[in-house]
Amino acid sequence: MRYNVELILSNENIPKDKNRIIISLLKHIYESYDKDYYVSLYENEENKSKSFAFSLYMPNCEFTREEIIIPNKKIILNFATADMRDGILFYNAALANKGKPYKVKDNSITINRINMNKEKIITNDYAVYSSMSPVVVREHKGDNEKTWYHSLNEEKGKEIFIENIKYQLLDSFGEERRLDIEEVDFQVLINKEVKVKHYGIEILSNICMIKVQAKPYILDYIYKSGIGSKRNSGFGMLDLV
Amino acid sequence: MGEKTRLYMEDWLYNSGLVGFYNVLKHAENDVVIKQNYIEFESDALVGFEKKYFNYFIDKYKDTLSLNKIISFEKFILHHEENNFENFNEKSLEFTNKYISDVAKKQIKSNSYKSAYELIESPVDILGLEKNLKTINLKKKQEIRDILPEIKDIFDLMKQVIKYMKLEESRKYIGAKNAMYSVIKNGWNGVCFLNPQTKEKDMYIDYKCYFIDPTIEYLNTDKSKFKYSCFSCNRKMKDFSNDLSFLNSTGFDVSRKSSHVWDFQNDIAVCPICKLVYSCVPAGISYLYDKGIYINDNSSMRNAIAINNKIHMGIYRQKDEDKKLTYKALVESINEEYNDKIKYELADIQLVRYEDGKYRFNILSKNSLKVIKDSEDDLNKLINCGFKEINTYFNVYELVIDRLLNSQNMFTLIQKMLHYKLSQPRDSYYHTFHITRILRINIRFLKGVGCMKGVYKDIVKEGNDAGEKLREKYRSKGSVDKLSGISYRLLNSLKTNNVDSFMDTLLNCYMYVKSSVPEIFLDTLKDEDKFKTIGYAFVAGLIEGRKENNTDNENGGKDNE
Ligand SMILES: [Zn+2]
Repeated sequence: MRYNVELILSNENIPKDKNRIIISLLKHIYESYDKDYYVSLYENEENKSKSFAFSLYMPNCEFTREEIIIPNKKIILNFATADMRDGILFYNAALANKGKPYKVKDNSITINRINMNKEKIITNDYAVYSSMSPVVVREHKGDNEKTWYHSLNEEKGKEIFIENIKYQLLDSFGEERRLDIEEVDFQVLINKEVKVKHYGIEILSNICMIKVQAKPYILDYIYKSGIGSKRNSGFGMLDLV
Repeated sequence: MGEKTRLYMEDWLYNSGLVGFYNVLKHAENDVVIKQNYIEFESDALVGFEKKYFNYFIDKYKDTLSLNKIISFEKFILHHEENNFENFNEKSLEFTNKYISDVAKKQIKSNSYKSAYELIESPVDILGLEKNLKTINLKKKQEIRDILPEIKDIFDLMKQVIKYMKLEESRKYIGAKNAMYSVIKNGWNGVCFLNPQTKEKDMYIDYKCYFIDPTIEYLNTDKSKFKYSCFSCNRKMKDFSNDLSFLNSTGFDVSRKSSHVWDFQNDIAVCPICKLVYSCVPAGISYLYDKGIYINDNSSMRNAIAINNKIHMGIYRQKDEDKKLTYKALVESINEEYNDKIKYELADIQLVRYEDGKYRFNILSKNSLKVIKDSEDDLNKLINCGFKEINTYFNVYELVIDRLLNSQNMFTLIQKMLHYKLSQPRDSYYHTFHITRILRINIRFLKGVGCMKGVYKDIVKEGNDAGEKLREKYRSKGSVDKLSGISYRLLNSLKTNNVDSFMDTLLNCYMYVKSSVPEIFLDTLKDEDKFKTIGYAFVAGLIEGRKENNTDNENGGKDNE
């Protein structure tokens, strides 16, 4: 399920750490619509892997040192999920909060319009995706070790990336699909490294176009739920090319 | 003579013969001893058995015999004569004409009646009366009172016909002919009086010579030197002259098989007593026209007799002649007979149906019986529901029971009914709230087979309410016309079990009316049965709104437009 939601701002400038604001908005609408669901998403398990991804589109925006200036005070929030339940609850929660301003810093966000986008159907055993929000390749070593972020321009980054994909797929589809998952492969067609400010730190990530070979149901899942790490924090949302 | 003979229960067909044999003797007020797994009769009971045999059918199937249909017109004549034809109107004329052409003339000159006249001693020239029987037409500018003299003439003629049909001999021979061709023929055929080449014109004598005399002779014979034994009862017998090929479609067709298996005939030969028992199969099975039902409850002879007699009574207790439902009687009998036993140790019972010339078998499983029992109220509401498919009328009640007996769920039936409600509303005699009743029956069935675990809330009601509310919202937007297209799409998703496309359509609907998606749909996502149950309940609500639901009455779809 894919939606695009029009958000209206009261001021034209927002902090550069924009995902943080959107995550806060999401938590707010879920908490006000369905407390149990909110708890299951954000409180029960830390870093619980959620099945949705989102990206932001800010027409004519301008990046300054600390802020983003959006002259027409409009943000389009793209939201995608492979899970029907998450998709319905997102719609219901957004609808329930429609027209109600949500205060953030010196600004406020109001949900204005909610649209559903038609999803494309994948029948081939490969697909070409472009990132709608930057893709994060994260390596997490041990408990207290440092976290590394990789570039898809490097071999090491590609290795970690495919490991992460397979881990994500196994988690969703279970052991019985292991054979299908083992044969997933990908190539980077285009990539540009970017640094994104996220909760105060700069994260190395990738704006890219990739080609993935897999069974259609796996390709469909990737299309809908996004790829890479931090998917539910504004990274790794994909579109089909 | 005066000796006692025991007949033990065997397979279902033999048991139906035993029940029939018992019924015939009981109807003639003969004593028969019923024990756990056998009945016992005295040889004297066989005296005049041929009369008892036909009497049973003539009495028990009274209403369906064409002889009684002819006679039943007498009431109509007397009614109009008593009232001096004052309320005899065009409708009465139409009824009279239809009766003359479709019942009286048709039957009187039929071959089976003609062959019976030869046996009836009467000076009346019945075929001559038939020639004079004519329908009466109202000419232009004529009124009923202008043709009253003709009507009275025809009534006089009919009275003579009816007087003839009421003769004791007419009852005996025409009644027997009726019974032969409308009842007995369903059980066996091709021999004795049902052999087209039989030399004996009197069916009573034919039956006596073919079935009874050999039995009496056999009972009186010393059997100690006989070498062979009966296929059914194991009694000693002399030879293999009695096979079972006269029984309908039971696989005992000796004439075809004997050429391949040289000793096949040996295996299935029976003694004369058993052959007589088998001739009583049609008195054990309950028939409605050319369909039959027999419940093989072999827990005891008494149960077998009781349940099958209940079914017979149940079928003929139903008032409306055209709408008699074979399963209705079955269900009532089951509910009465097994009410207490269902909870306890009841074993699965075999149900035998005779349809299209073949026997079909179902197991009345514990689950099916329990669902039928628990769904009494829902089922009763379905009695008058039906739909037309091509040119055939299907009764929903019968279809639902049929599925329960075959341990099938109701989803394809519901799919069809909702589809017809959209595509041919005039030939769909039910409301969508009847569909929610079927969904409830279906939930009981599914739970009984271990599905739908953890369903405690009324998902049918919630799904249905959601559909009704969405319909209301479309109505207030002036977009109710869009709903049939949407319903078709939803039905298609349900049929192909495609949750994604169902949800896609659903979300678009809710976006269109700017409403949230009811929580109940979150339940549909994990389980196919829940998805279909809620989905169909929803479509039912969407097709037909809330307002119409107030008429959930006994009439089923009768008041449907
Ligand atoms: Zn025998």
